[in-house]
Amino acid sequence: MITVLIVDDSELQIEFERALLEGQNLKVSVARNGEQCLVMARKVRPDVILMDIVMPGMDGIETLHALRHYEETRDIPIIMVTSQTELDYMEGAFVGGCNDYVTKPVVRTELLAKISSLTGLPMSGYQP
Amino acid sequence: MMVSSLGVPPLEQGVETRYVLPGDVVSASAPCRFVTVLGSCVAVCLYDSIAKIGGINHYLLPGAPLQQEGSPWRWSDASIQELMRQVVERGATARRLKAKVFGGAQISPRNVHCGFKIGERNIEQALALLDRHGVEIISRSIGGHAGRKIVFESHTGNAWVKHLRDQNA
Repeated sequence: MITVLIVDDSELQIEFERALLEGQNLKVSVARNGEQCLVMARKVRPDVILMDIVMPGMDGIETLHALRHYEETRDIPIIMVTSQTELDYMEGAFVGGCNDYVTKPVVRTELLAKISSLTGLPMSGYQP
Repeated sequence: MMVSSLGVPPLEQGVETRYVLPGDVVSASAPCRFVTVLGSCVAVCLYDSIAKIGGINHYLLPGAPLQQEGSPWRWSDASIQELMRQVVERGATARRLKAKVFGGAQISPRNVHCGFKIGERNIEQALALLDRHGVEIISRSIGGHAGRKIVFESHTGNAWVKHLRDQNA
């Protein structure tokens, strides 16, 4: 089973993303800040991380750099979750090693397609 | 028209800069410099060199949605169609339009060989749709394993690409 780690300080956003992932045979874990994410990433070994950018303490970009620094978390695919006003962060996020990004409000098909692309999760019912 | 990985020249006076967000389709009659950042998404730039009118889109998914989910311009079909509509409405001539295509990267550290292959499919859609509309593609920077920052000038048709490579790789 594919494991997704949601990293966000907003309970509302966590629940929104969790709902988008429902029914996909995915295991969802949650970290509420960057520091927790580093611990969870080593413990859970997620197949993909959904990373908020603006968080108190260690923000999403700093957490991305830290994940890419450590050997055991270096290869985990990371999708940044950004608001439309934070797009200027994305140039640095790609240079920092993120794999892709989605903008809020996150659209279900888009999120699943990006997860599928990075993890091999089957995408049923989508034939462009 | 040119594509360069070199630095973008300083902004001329009176030229506006605008960010192109995922799901946007934008065009301009007045001088404008558009900027966007792409991973697996694709941006198509259209330009009529006689009318000096251009536009750019930024779509996220290939094809068309099965059900309404956010803006239809997040999908390739509606996005490219809307881009053509906008530039023609501003005074461009459809048969004179030339295209530049960017994006569609697959940035996967685990080298996944199955799954949706979103970047690849987004590229296929751009090439197929532009061909169907009879629009010649005069340059492209597509696929690969790095994000891209794109700058496109709607009044000159010039475009610049910066590859955003993982500095840790």
